[in-house]
Amino acid sequence: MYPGKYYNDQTSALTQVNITLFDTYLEFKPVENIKATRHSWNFDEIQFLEINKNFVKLIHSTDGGLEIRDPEFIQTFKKLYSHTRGTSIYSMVLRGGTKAAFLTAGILFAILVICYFFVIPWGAEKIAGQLPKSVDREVGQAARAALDETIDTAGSKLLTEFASGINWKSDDTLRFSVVKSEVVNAYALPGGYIVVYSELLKKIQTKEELAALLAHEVSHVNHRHSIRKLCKDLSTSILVNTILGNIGAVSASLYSNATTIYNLRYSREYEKEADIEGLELLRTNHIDQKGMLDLMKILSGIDKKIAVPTFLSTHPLTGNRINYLEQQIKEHPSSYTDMPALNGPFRALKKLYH
Amino acid sequence: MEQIYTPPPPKNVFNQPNLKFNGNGGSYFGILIVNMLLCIVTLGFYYPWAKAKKLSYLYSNTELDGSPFTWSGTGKEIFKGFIKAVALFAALFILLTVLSRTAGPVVAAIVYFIGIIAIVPFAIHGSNRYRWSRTSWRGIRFGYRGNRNEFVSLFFKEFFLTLVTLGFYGAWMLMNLRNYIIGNIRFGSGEFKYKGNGWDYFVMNLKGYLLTLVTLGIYGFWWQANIFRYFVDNTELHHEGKMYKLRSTATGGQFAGLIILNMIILIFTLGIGYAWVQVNVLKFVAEHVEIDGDIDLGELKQTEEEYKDAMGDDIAGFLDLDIV
Repeated sequence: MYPGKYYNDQTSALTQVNITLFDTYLEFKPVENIKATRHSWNFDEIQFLEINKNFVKLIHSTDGGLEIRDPEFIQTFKKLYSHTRGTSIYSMVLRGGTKAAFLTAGILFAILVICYFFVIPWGAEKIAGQLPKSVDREVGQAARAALDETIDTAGSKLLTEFASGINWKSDDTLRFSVVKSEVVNAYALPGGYIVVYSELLKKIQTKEELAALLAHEVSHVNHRHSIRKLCKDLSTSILVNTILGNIGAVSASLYSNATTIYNLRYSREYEKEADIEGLELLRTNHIDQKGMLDLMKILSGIDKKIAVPTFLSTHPLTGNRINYLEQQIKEHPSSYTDMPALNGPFRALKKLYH
Repeated sequence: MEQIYTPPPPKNVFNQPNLKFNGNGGSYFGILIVNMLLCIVTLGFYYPWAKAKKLSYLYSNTELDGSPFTWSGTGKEIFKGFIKAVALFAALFILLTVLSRTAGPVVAAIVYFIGIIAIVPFAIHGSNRYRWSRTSWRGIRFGYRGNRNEFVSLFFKEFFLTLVTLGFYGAWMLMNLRNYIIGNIRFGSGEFKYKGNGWDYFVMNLKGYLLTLVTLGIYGFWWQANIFRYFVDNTELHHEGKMYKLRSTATGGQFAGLIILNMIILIFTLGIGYAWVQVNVLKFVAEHVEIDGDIDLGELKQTEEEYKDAMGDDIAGFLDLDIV
């Protein structure tokens, strides 16, 4: 017999009772009133609440409950009761204490790492592939509105004229612009907005180099790198938000991701793809592939301390780039012509920015 | 010389039931981490069951007079409420999208604002009904007897007054709502009362705000202690002509200790210590609430019905509403 306290669901009065355990049920009677009727509870009518090692509560479906603080009872009862019930991961953690909690935390962390590095990138690529092209255009417009850079009309006209001499193999309506800036940079927004800063145009010496630069940026657009990166970043932030349980933040991150797309950094993988696909574009247009190599050499020659290295830092190390570009050119030799149509606009551009 | 002498209440009726929180950071951390694991594995669908587990742990580790509170809500109930809440927000979202296409973004923004404000009182009402109905102690259920229409019209009246007074009425609004809500909470046959007064609350907060500014934030702890005291000391439990009064024994210095300790834990564990922080807070609250009066806790009778619709509670969760 074990001591316990009984309440009957009618009032909050507690009665001292003596409990007897059987294989599949238990019985109890008030200590002070021998004549009272015996209560008999089947285990399958009982909800077992393990509050801590030394305190349990048994709740009957219709006949009140018992509060028991007897370690011996708890041990015996759990053995009998667990035959009728499975064990839960929670009771394992509660029994195992802090050690089990940290083990679970470790498993959790491993799942997160796997999600972060494998599941999310894979899923995001799949999602990006499903998105229609109109999404690219809308995101591009939002980004452009957020950037609000003053476009140099004369230069942009010349750059557009230059670009029109080349077949870009693109589904998008490409728009080429020049922005006056001291920064050496060029970027492509989804939907086909390509911007070259005047300072970079000053560094460029030949029309092949300019063609290579544009080919690189157009490849970003053609392969939808921005949208793919955006999907990845979004999925990551959704994962983070799920864990933190903050649903409201998802919409906030949607918004900030759209407007700060300029800050998106293409991963090196995307940069490499743009380089190689850029070469392919040069080949189709019979432009000398060496232009790409020369472009890299110019970029590597820029004093990184003075020029803000936005263009350089997010890209693969230039030495490495030159290596794989040389290899690509060796593997895919191609004939080229002089492209006289490009001469006029290029010279005019150089005159404007020298 | 005249002496003022109040005789102590007879010993056999006067009592001080003890409030205690027995949870420990390690076990609670275990619960939270398993919850997180299952939520991730199920892509968030486990959330209602996780919430039920968490509440169950916190309730059953809170003891009044040696008996634990029990949370009898289930994941299934919370899940149903969750689905309904999601559907409601989805409907609101669709309405907004349609409106912003047809009537323009300004109209949509206004409708959004009104929509959210309109949902709030229903959520508070539903949440209270559900939460209290699923709370019990020695088998005696708590309950919330507030009338929905009454509460909603009270809420809108108070909200309107706060709006036209540019927020100055806020203290009165909060007190009037709290008086209504707590006044409608039942502990079996026991009835809670709250005696908050808008003017007192306003003055207290104004003083707290100004002194916190002047002392560069240091007075904030004492302000916090005052808010806590105002909440606790104005709460009473009445039962058949007898009464319990609640009293806060927390001082500003103790609040400073608690808050600083918790901040250190959070910073140095990069947030992982959240479980310990919450346990510290609950221990602190339980230790600093004193209950005294002449109610016999064994005499409370079962009076409250069961209420299983968790929709309001889930909406309140979405909107991050503080209940009571």
